[in-house]
Amino acid sequence: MSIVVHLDVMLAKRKMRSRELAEHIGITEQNISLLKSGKVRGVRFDTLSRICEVLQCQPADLLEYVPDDESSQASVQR
Amino acid sequence: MQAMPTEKTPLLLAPTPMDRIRRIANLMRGMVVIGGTVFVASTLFLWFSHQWVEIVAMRDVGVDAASISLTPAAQWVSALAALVPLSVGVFGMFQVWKLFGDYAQGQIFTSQASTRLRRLAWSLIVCAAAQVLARTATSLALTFNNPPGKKMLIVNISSTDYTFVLFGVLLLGIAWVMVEATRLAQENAEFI
Repeated sequence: MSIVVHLDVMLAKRKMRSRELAEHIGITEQNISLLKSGKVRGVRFDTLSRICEVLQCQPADLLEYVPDDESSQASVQR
Repeated sequence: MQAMPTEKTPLLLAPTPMDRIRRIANLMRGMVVIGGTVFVASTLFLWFSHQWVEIVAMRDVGVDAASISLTPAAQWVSALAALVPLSVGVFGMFQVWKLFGDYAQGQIFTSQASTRLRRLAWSLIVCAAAQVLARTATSLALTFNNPPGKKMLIVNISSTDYTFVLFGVLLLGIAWVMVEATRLAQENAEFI
């Protein structure tokens, strides 16, 4: 099971930089980078709520569940 | 109408928990340096004072002044025996000094802090055992030159030794709890 984070896509759609988002939601830019790359153990609802408020989106726009079989097949096809 | 803060009346901010930790940490480090210096100096001075050796022999070792043969060799052996628990005590105080140095820098839930706490705990336990052995060695050294039948080998365990062991075990328990707390803190830090 893996959760894919599409924060970079939403930032591009809203033409916002990571640093701006970090300042708006009150976390460090480093944490935003970790979140974009999916290298975090989890996201608090509070943080997710603030991201959605700033980027005017839904959690589903940011997070996608990809079963392990699909993700491994996708990496083989590449 | 409320008066606005000016340069002469700065806005007073309540101390944060970290401010309090820093204050206590600096206080503890100062106390360790002063206490450690006095402890080491007084112990070294003690064993070169005839009068104090007699007092220690009676009070701590359990040998009365009339029963001891205080020769320079006996004084040196007793001083060396006292160095053992003293060294362990200094090691423990060094761990306290380093531990509160870490706390002052905000490094509280770290594996290093847990390690220092464990070392401090073990130093207390070992110090208690070392003190018993030192007193035994001292009783032998101070009565070694006595006539046959008047030499003494005393094993003296005091309430202070028990207290050292008790606090050592207590700190050891706290140290293992801190290991778990450190793991939880690190796990929490991985949540954004």
